[in-house]
This record gives sequence, structure tokens and C-alpha cells, in this order.
Amino acid sequence: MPRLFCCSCLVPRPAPGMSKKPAAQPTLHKVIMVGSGGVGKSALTLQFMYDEFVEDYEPTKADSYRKKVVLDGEEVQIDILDTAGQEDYAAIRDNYFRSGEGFLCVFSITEPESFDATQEFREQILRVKNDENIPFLLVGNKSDLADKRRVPLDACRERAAHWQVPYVETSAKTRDNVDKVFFDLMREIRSRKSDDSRATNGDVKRKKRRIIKCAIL
Amino acid sequence: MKYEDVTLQREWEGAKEPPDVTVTASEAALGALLEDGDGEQDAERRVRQLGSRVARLDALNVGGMLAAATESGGAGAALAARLDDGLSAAAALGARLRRCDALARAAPDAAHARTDAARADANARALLAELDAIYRWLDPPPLRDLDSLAEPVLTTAEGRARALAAAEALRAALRAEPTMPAPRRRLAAVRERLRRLARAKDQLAAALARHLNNALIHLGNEAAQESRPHRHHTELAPYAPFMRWLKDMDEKAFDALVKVYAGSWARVYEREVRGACEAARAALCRDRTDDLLDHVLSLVESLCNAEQDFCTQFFYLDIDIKSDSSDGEKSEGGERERGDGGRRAGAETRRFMHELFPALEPELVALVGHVERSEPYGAMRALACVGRRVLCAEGERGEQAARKPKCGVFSFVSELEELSGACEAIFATSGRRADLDRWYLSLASAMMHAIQHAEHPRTPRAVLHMENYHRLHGTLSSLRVPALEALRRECRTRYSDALRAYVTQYFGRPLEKLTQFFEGVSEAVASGVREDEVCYRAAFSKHELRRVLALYPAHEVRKSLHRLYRTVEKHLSEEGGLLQVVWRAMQEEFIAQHVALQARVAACYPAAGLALPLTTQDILDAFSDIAREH
Repeated sequence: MPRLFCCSCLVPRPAPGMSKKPAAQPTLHKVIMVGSGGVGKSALTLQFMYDEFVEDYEPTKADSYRKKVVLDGEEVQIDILDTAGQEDYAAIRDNYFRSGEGFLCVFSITEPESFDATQEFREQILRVKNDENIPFLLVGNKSDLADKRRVPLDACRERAAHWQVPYVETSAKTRDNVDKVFFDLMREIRSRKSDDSRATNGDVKRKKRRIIKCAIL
Repeated sequence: MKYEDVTLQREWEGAKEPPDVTVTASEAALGALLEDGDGEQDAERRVRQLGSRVARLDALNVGGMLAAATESGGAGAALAARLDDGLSAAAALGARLRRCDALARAAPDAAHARTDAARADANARALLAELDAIYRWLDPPPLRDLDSLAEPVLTTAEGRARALAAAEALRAALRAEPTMPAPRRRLAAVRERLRRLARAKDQLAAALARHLNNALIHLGNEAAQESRPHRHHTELAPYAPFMRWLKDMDEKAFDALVKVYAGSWARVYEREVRGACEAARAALCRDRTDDLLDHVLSLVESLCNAEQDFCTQFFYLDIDIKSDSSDGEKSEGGERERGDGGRRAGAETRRFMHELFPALEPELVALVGHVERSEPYGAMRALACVGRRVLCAEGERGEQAARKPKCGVFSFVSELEELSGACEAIFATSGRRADLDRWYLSLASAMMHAIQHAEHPRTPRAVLHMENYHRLHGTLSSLRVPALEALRRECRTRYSDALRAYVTQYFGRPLEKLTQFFEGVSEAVASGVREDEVCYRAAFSKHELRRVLALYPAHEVRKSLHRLYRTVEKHLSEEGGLLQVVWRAMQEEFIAQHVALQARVAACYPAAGLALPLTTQDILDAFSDIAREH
């Protein structure tokens, strides 16, 4: 017989500073980590999620993370899908690209091949999402390894400008800019969502690419 | 002929006397009749005579029944006597018929005489059967003494057994009415008897309600005045079958009893819980807070659990008595727990428990509030203490989850995040970190236990494990407590195992028969058959493979891939967030298998012109289609 005892109502109540569960779940922003193998997608994710840096490299297949964060005073939930750098068949990515609302496209500044590969990732994302203005950040990781740098900063900036996306350099090891890339991307996703809802409400039909356009003009 | 009429009349009169007399009288008459004639030449005549007498007896019998049936008024006892008469007369008839039969058989050439006798025999038999059915329906042994049911003896075990037998018989008889043939129900005597039974039922229900009401009030008063251990559960238990009967037969009386019980025991428990809380408050300065809370909660828990166990059984809460089979035998506790009733259990029990313990929550909240004021970490202790207990309760039940279409992430897993947030805030500046870690450890272990043993009617076990271990792993990771490291790794392992189990269980489905075929091939190869010779085995011939391949035209495979995606989507919950992870694994597994199958076909059936329905590229395209459509 199932036990009914133990007023579970007691659990959330007595603690000071522990608010009752809000009726509605906070907004969920879905972020996808993409990029070649070994560039540090998982390291960035784990640093952001748990403030830890894992030295051991173990290739990811796919992993999902969820965390509540406060974005400009509003409680939101971030859902991070950390994906495999090497995938035998690119088509396998279609489905999770489709599910993403924003992308962190990561390469290692010490590895030109990973920088080249961002081209392919970008193309596939645009094709699957069928949207030129999908929230997207180009992320050059391993900025702590400046002495081993092999992808010139100018090349990175040039590509980001060409794509009309922000470029940020990070270090999963030192946590440098880690929060920034996730929060910047969430802001883009958020403004994109509010644009969309305004557009569907027939309120203001503004051009969706306004932020990025302003940035380069 | 005159003589026969007189005999018949006498026999009919005789039938009203005690049965032994009747038998003697009719046997004497028959003896006389048989002695009357002698030799075979008279057999035919005698059979004819007997036949017509039987027919007339029949008529008389039916006439008697009709007379009884048309007689109106309070003929209850008279009717029973009449029915008895009829039965005896019919018994006598039966005996005579058997003799007629024997006689008729002794005269082989009297064919038409035999048919007359046979007809009479059939009629009599039908009448007998009808009477027997009516008797079995309306006059089973426990209902022989209806008058005593108004005053049943309920204080002794024998009295209760008698009353219960009568009660069940009454229920069975009254409930059987709609199932009886209409002509039988139309008989006035039957209608009269049914009215009598209904009256007896009302009298019995009233007597039961009176007795139980008194018992409930008495036990309640006793508990309110004395402080010795409560004995009401043992005292009342023998009456449980009667409660069940009342719930079915007299809902009003039953509801009134439920109210009386809840009312009198709510008072008792309110006083006891308040007493325990006050004692705890008084002892707060002397003793350790956790011990005190633990003590109060243990007391409350044992009270609640005992009451819940008792009340669900005594009041048959959350059980649909009416839809139960009517024989009343299916009421054993174990049966209910396993059955559907057990799964539905909840709403009614919950409401009842709330009526029984109305002051429980405010009292405990007040106590926790008091603890909080007098000791800075008191609230934390209370939380850990209550949390641990709630968890044990929740792990066992999961019934809220069972009502949802998907299991999803258990609320206790997501609540751990909030709980830990609050705990960390409280303990941030204290030196009591070790205590907190200890609590985390016991909480997390309890959760893992709960997840491992949880079930859900519509969610596969692997999905339930996958989603909950994944989330628990995430929460434990964010706590970053070294003491939890082993548990965290265990969560991770269990999550991966569940993911693998789920994927392998389902990915093969789109090409199930083909997969099976090649599993057979693999086994053959493993047992030493050369790959290029496999096709010479009957079970794995080219012809056989062609047949299996024909089951999977390309569009069918595409369709079943779409179906597979929808199944996965249906199983996985939104809050679990694992759809993409699982689907990616399934795609990978499917393609890997497909590639392996292709290699097998090439190795085992070279140059046979056989190919799988889809190429790898076709499958990848199908995956892209699925991505576009969802």
C-alpha cells in the first residue's frame, strides 16, 4: 500500500530564503555545442556547469545538461547539448541541430584544422535551421595557450564578421570568458524569441537581424 | 376412475402433511394399484392409467402453485409452507415417475403409452428443476430464519459468522434478481419473497449500523480518557466484512460510520500530536534538535501509517466495491494491493487521512518554526529530517507519477537542487559542513534506492532510470561534495547502462525479422560455418533471405524509422532533456548495424544480387527527413 504519510508540503516551506516552487517553469533556452573533436566543448560546458576543469580527454558522444541561471535579473533555464566532434555521418547531427535555439561553434586557436571545420558546421546549421540569423557565437578556445597559437586573431575576426556573428576567445582551463559566451548566447536567443513573439503577435514586424547589423555598421 | 380421483385428492391432501406421512400414503396407494393388476397383459392399461394420473397430478400441482401465486397479502410464511408442499409433492411424483418408467420398459410393445409417460416425466422434471432453482435462489440455508436478522448477535464470533453468512446470502439473492428469467420474477410468490428479503436487508443494515456506531463512539471515548495504547484496530477488525457489506448495500449508513470514526479519532490524534509537539518544545534546550524532531516524526509517522493501513482495509477506501465480483471472497488485502485498486489508491485515502489528522500540518509547521527561532541551524535539521522521511514515503509510492502519461524526473530529484541551494546558503558561514555532507549522502542514497525500485505503467523502466539517474548525476555534480563522488559515479554508470539498454531494446525494431535472420547467420558463422557456405543451409538460403528482404520494402523501412522516432519521443519526458541524446545513439546504432548487415550480405551471399532495402545514404536521408519533420 502506498504510504501517504509525511506532509510533503513541509519540505519547501520552513526554510528561510527558500522560495516555493514557482507555478510556471522558467523559460528554457536550448544551446548546442558544436566543433571538431578535442577543441574543448565538454571542458567549456563542465566549467560553466560545475566550475570544474577536467584534464582527461574522453570523446563525447552526446550529453545533455540543465541549469537554472539568472539572466539580467530573470530566472531562466539553460539546456546545453554537448555533442560529438567526430561523427561518422554528418546527417546524424541534423536532428539535434534542428532542436537547438542557439549555437556555440567552438574551435581551438592551437589547431587550424578545427578552425577550418567551423565552415562545415556553420553550413550544416544554416541548412538545417534554414535561417541566416540563428543565434550563433564563434568561440576560439584554449586562449591560455597563447604561445601555441596557430590561428591568427585576424582570421578569426574576419570570419565572424563575414558571418555577422560575435567572436569570443575563451579558456575552459582558466574560466576566462566562459560565462560570457553562454550568457551572450542566451541573450541573443532571448531577444530572438521576443522578436519572434512580437512578429507573430503582429505588433512590430522588425527585421530579425537588427542587432548584428548594428554591430557591423 | 372415480377411485383414482379420490386417491389423487387424498394424495394431494396427504402431501400437505409431514413428508414421511406423504411418502407412506402414496406408496401404499401405489402398492395397492400395482397389486390390482397381474401379469403382462395388464401392463399397457396400467401404464395408460398411470400416465393420465401423472398428467392430472401435474395439473393439480400447477393449480396449487397458481393458487399460491394469486393469493395476495402477507403470505410470507404460508408461501414458504406452500413451496415446501410443492417440493414434497414433486418428490413423490418423481418417485412414481421412476416406477412408471420401469413399468413402461417392462411392456415393450406399448409404444404410445411410453411416450405419454415420457411426456409426463419431462413435465414433472421441468417443474422440479424450476422449483429447485427458485429454492436455491430465495431460500438458501442462511436465510431460513429471517426474523432473527433484525436482532443479530454481533458480540460473539459465532454470532458474527452467522450474521455474515446471512448478510452475504441476502446480498447474493437480491443482487441475483435481474439475472433471473422474467417469468420467474413475475410469480407473485417470488415477488413477495423478494420484498421480505429486502426488508430483512434493511433490518440487518440498521442493526449493524447501530452496533458499529456504538462501538466506534465507545472506543473513541475510551481513548480520549485513558492514555494506554489504542486497541480500536484489533477491536474493530472483525467487523471489516460487515463494513464492506454496508458499503455495498447501504451507503448512507456506511458514510455515517466513516464520519463518526474520523470525527472521534481526529480529536484523539489532535490531542496526542499537540502533546508530543509541546513536549518537544519544552525539551528543546536540553536535547539535540534532530533527536527531538525525529522522535515527534516517528510518533506521527507510526500513527499515520497504522491508521492508513487500518482504514484502507476497514473502510475499503479507493476500492470500487460494486464492481467487485459479488461473492465477497475477493477482499483479501494482498489481492487489492496488486490489483488495479491498489494502483488507483490515493484520492479517497488521502482525503480520509486529512480528515483524520486535520491539525497535523499546522502543529508540525509551528514546531519547526519554534526550532528555527531557538536555533540557527534548526530549520536545516528539520529539513533534512523531514526530507529524508518524505523521500522514503515518496519512493514507495510514485503514484502521482503513475497518473501522468510519462514518468519523467521524480519531484524529489529536482527538489534536491532547491534543497541543496537552501542548505548551502545556511551553512555557508558555519563550521558544520560535515553534518551537511552526511545528510546529502543519506538523501542521495535513499534517492538512488527509490529510483532503482520505481515503476511506471507507461514508461519503460530503462527510460525511468535513464532520466532520473541522469538528473541526479547532474545535481550531485553541481554539489561538488567529495563525499558524494562514489555515488555520483554510480549514477553515471547506471545512466549509461540504462541508455544502452533502452537503445538496444528498441533500435532493432524497424528491421526486426531481418535482424533475427542475421543473428542466426552470425551464430552459424560463430559455430564454424564458413561465411560463403552459410547460404547452403536451408534456414539461411538465398531464397530465404530474399523472402525476409521482401518483408521490408524501402518505404516500409522509412516509415518504421519515423515510427521509432515517435516512440522515443513518446517515452521521453520534456524535463529529462534526453531526446536528442537518445535519438543520436539510436541513429548511430542503427547505422552501425546496417553497415554490419551489408558486410554480412556481401560476405555470405556474394554475387547473388541481394541487397538491403536501403543504402546507408538512404537511411541518412531518412534521418534528415525525420529531423525536418519534428
